Amino acid sequence: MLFSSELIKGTLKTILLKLLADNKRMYGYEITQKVKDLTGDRIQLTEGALYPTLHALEADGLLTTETEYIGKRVRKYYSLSKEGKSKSKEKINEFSEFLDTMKTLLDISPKNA
Amino acid sequence: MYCLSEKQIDFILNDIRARGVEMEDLQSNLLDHICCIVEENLKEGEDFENFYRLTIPRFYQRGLWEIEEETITLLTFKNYYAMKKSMIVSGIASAFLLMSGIVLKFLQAPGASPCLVLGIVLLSLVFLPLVFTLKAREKKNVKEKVIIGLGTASASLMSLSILFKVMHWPYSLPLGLASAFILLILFLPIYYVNGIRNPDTKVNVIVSSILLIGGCGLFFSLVSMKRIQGTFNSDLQLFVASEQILKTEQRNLSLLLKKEGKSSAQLQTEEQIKTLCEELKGDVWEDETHSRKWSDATPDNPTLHRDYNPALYFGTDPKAMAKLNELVQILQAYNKEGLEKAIPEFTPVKFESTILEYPRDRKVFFPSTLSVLGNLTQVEMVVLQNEEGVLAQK
Repeated sequence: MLFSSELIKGTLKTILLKLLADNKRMYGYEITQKVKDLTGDRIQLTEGALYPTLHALEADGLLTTETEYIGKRVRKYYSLSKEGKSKSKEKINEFSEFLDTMKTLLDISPKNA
Repeated sequence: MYCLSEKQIDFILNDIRARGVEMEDLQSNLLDHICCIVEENLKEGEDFENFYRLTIPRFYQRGLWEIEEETITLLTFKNYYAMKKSMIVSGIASAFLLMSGIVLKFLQAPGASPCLVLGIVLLSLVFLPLVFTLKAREKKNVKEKVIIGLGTASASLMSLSILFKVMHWPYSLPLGLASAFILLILFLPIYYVNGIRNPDTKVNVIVSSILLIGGCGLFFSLVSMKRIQGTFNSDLQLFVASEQILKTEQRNLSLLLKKEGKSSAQLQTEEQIKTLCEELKGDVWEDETHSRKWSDATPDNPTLHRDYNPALYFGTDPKAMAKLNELVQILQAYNKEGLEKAIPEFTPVKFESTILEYPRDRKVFFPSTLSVLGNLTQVEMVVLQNEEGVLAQK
C-alpha cells in the first residue's frame, strides 16, 4: 500500500532531516531512492514536494549545500548544518511523541497486541 | 546505464526553462533529477525523447512551474503561522480598542481618541494587510487574488478615512472617495462577474454585493459633499464679508480720531488687541494653508480643509499659546476696566465657547479654522464698537 501524500506532507521535513543525519550528504534523486528502498516503495517522495522543502530547509539554515559537476550538469548535495543536527533530533522526538499520542487516540496498540 | 549526450542535457534544461522554472538553483536540481531517472531507466537504443515525454508529467499536476511556485511560497511564507497568529491578535485587539473607544466617546470619558486611533491603525495597517497576504496565498487564481487585494485596500482606506474624520485631520474625504472608487468601480464588478458564474457562490455574491452597495450608500449619505461644500463656502463668504466690514470700520474710526486730533496710538490697549488678533489670525491661517496671505482666500477658491482642528496648533506650538494667553490677559483687563469705569454702551468681549477659552479649557471643540478666525474678528469688532461708542458720547 502506498501512503497518501497528505500523510507524508506533514512529516517530510522530519524524513529529510533524519535521512541527512544518517547520511553525510545526499542529492535530490538519491533521497527519493533511499526513501523508496527504506520503505519498500510504500513512501514515494514527489519532486514537487521534495525540492521546495529542501530549499525551505536551506533558507532556514538547517541545511548546507555543495555542488559538483557531473559532466555538463551540476549536482547539488545537501547536508545538515549544526543547527540542522539539533533540529533533526528535536523533530524526531516530537514525531515519536506524536505517534504515541496517535496510538492512544486511535486505540491502535491493543489491536496490534 | 544510459549515457546522456550534452545535446540531450541541453534539451532537458531548455525544456525545464520553457515550462516556466526560472530559479537557476531549482533548474539544476530538476535537471540532475531528470538525468538520473533517464540514466537509470532508459535502455541503450531506446527513444530518449519519447521516454522524456512520458517521464516529465509525473513531476507535476498542472505544470512544472508548480514546483517553483511552491518553493517561492515556502520561502516567502516560512513565517506563515506567526503571521496567522499576528492577524488574529491584531484583529481582536483592534475590535476591542474600537469598542472601548466608542463607549468612552459616548460617555465623554478620557482615552477615547487613543483607543480609536490605535484601533483603526491596527485594523487598517496591520490586520487588513495580513488578511490580504494570507488569503491571497490560499487562492490559486489570479482573479481571486486581485479581488482580495482590492477588497482589503478599499476597507483599509475606508477605515483610515473614518479615522481622519473622527480626529479632524485633513484629507479624510479624498481617502473616502478613493475607497469608494476602488470598492464600487473596481472591486464590485470583478467580484460580481467572477462569483455569479459559479452556482455555489451565486446567491452569496448577489447578497454581498447588495450589502456592500447599501453600506456604501449609507456611509456617503452621512457625508453629503454638496451640503458640506455649500455650508463651508457660505461660512467662508460670511467671514470674508465680516473682515471687509471690520477693515472699513477700522479705517473710518481712524479718520474720525484724526479729525478729533487723536491718533490711534493713544488707544494703546485697543491697538494691542487689534495687533494680537491680526497676528493670531495670520498664524492660524498659515499653519493650515502654509500661506501668510490669509485674506486672499475667496469662496470660489477655498484653501482651508473642512476637517482641520485648529486647536491642535495652539496645543502643540508654545509660541502660539503664549500669544493667545497674552491676548486673553489683555482682554480680561480690558473687560474689567470697561465694566469698572462704567463706560456707557460698553460691551465686554465674550469668552465662552470661543478660542479665548482654550488656554483655560483644552477640551473646547473648534469645528474649523474659520470658527477660530471668526472668533478673533468678533473680538476686534466688539473693541471697535466700544471705541465708536466712546467717540459718539463725546
